[in-house]
Amino acid sequence: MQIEPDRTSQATFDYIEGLKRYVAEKFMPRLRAAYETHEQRYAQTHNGEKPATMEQVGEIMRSMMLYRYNRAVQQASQELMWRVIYESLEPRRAELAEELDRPTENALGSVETDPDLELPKYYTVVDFHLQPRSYHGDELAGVVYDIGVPIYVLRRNGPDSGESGRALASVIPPGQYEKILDMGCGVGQKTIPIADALPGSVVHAIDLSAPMIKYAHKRAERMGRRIHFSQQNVERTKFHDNTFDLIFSTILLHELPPGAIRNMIAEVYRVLKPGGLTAHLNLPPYSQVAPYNAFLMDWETHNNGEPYWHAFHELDLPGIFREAGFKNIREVTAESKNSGRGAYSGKSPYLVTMAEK
Amino acid sequence: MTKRPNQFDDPAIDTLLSIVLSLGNEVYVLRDRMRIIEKMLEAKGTISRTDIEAYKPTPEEEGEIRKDNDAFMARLFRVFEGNLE
Repeated sequence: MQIEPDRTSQATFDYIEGLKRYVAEKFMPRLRAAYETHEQRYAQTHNGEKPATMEQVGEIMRSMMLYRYNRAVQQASQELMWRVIYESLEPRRAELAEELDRPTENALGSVETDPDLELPKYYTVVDFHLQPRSYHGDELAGVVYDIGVPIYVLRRNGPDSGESGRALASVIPPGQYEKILDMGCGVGQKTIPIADALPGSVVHAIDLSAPMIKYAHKRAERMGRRIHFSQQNVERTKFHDNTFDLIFSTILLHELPPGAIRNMIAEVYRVLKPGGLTAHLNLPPYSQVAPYNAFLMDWETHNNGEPYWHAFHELDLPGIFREAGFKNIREVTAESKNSGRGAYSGKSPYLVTMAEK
Repeated sequence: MTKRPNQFDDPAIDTLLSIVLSLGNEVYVLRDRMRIIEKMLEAKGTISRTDIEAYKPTPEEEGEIRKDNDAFMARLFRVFEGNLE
């Protein structure tokens, strides 16, 4: 399934990307310069001390009109982005929905939805990234997400939106991984680079959203990859004990509240084979980021449909793995050649939490 | 459904900005269409709606469009380059 936008849609997408590029490349440096002036003034009234916490940074920032406008343009561009993507697909809705439901001929992989799966409350009450009707509430959610993401992140995630998947693959130790599982796979943007890095592995990928995995399946088949998608909850999967050699997630955990993360990590332990490896790629916690960048990162929590973002970036993730019984817990950085561009978390690379059962 | 966040103390400003940026979108798309129409008229002396929607810029033209886009944003947000804090 390939979506080729007409010229009007393409021009609209160009406009949105232009807004976002303006914010990231022109407006952010301008904001930073203005902030530094305020920071100097702050230091003069605080015994020469500059703001040392994200709360103190926030006090200054919220008083700045430039900050308010910077974030308002960011938010408005995000809302506009989803709206125009949906508008561009609306004339083809029936045809696309029918194609998503139609079994793929000579499929390499598979897809299995579960109409009886109860979606957790924490999940259904959020429009993640402000995407209307979120991941689960519209049959075209996966198509819309796959079009939106490259615009949203200014193509930082590279070809086929696989950058963070390639970053994770680069730190997974070479070895034999007979069966592997991607938790919270979305449309499979990161599943594919990992599968490519581990040829010979049987690849499973699960997500709560039926629209996302239906599209993920079509997308993987179009790209000629053999992946088995199923609609499951990472907190309680249908897999047997000791099934997988490797279980991973990419930029997923911040979308789960801490309780669900604990349940998920315990579930990973259950379905991982003894000696199996688990690896989870995320942005670094606030403690590893400069207060200015942490404050900007934290904006997501209340303004971009990411209510669990703050708690996640203050969580003791290795501690949760320890509680679940894992050993050899370590955190390694995974570089992405694009991770700094336009990202307000600064130049911080990804952080991968790894452990063995 | 997530409640709409506000960046300003008065949400009316957020609303107004959304309206302005939607208008910017319309203007941008019209400019794009106008550019294509001009190019087509110049090259073939004739245009059709189908031709416009199927239009694919050359890589060189993509570069021009990108420059035009940056300049458009710079004009739209010129006020932020001033003395605002």
